Amino acid sequence: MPRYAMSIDVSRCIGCQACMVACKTENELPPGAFRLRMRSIVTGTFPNLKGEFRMEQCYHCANAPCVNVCPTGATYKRADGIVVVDAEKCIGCKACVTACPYGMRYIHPEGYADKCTFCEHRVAAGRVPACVETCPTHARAFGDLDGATSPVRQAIADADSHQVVKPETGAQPKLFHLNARFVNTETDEQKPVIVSELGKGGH
Amino acid sequence: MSPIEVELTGANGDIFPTLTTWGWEIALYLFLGGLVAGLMMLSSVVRLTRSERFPTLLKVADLAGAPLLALGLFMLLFDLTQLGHVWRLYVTFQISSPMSWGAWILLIAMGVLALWFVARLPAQAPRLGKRTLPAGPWRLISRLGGWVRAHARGLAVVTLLLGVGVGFYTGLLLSTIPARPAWNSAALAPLFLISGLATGGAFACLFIPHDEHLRLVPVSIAACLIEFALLAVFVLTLADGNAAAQRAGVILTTGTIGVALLLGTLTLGLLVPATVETFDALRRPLRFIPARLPPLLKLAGGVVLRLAIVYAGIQSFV
Repeated sequence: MPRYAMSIDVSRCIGCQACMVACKTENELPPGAFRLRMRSIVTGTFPNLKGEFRMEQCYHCANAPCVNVCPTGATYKRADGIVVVDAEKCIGCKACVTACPYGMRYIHPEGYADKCTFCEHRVAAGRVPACVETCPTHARAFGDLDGATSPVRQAIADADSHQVVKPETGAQPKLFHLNARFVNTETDEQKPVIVSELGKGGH
Repeated sequence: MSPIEVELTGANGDIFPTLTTWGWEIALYLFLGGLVAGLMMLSSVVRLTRSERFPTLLKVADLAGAPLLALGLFMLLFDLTQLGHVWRLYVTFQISSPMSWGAWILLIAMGVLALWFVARLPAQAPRLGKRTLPAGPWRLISRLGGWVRAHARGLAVVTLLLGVGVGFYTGLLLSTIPARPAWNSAALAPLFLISGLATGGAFACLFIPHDEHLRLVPVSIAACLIEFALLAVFVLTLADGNAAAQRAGVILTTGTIGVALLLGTLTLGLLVPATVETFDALRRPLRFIPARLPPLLKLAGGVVLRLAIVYAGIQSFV
């Protein structure tokens, strides 16, 4: 049985958001709903600035808090490590949204909890998730963490560094950020600014 | 240190800029659950020890328990976004999910409270029952009431255990979520349990006669003092925790939430009623204070406590 994981090489990401668009299209997400999000981090004093884009999505944790709190078993972990939601079993109690340490779940307008599924329907057909396929810089890799020649394992092995976000939660995420400078730094504690809100006053 | 800018694109509206998952509905659900748990514990202890001294308290607990818990469950259902799937709670048991435990405990508690309620009906509303119900169901209710009275002691033990379970559950539901450091404290479940006892007693005091109230005062003062101590432990453990816990402590003790906790729960909800009741216990009552004011303040303090902690939790993050 494979153990699926994903890696994102932060040094390759150009912040084009093509993955977010591909995800929305592939999974037919309604307006205002996202399974992926982008954190843009800039530091320094002009003109000496440094920055990076960090794509975030469900981390498909090995010890997923969302699975543990679900009262109906609607959220469960498949044998291959993918965490999924059965919309028919979900009662919309929002315990999983509250329990996710990464804030990667939301309530779909139809009432159930929703999040990235690693495009399970595509994986079942032997394809990679839409975000991986569409990435123009090949920053993303997906595959079996235990497969000796799998793209994700090779990407992690080739990277100078690999990190998971908030390892102290004990959730054991299965999404790895490669060559990142700002993962788990003080930037995580900054209150994020929503780009779409810029210019409406206050920022 | 260099200035840092962080921008977020693709944020879902219910997650950023503020998590809006659980709000006042859940706070009221936890408050009513705690209040009913308090009534269940008090009435059971009274029933098992000296029922003849608190006849009105028993009547209030029996008649109000089931409707109040139903109201609390209504608040929970009101918060669900897939209400039609709620039956899914009762075709499974998820051992790692406090909400699954709670769903089953609340169902059993509701059944037991309904028994107490039904047992009271023939004595409390004999005409009402005969007028509104056919003879068959009314006879069944009367026989059920007889069965409850015959097994009152055994049922009281079950009610006591369920009361402790429901009271603890209202805190465990929050405290077992590590992603919300303002909730993730071992002190929260005992705090909600004791607060439930205090608010359950306060609710009964709105209806019981003065002599019964006076007999309840020592328990009431003790509950207030223990709740005060647990609240202090709760805040201090956050202050002594890691960076995330300390941030949560700041949320709990500053701004609107801090003022609400300090003024609404600590001062008006605990210290003022405890002081007034201490004078009552010393047989030197403060006559300028209406008799129903201290219990009302305690109830309000209990609501504020749940609201403050629920809202602090969803603002806090690891």
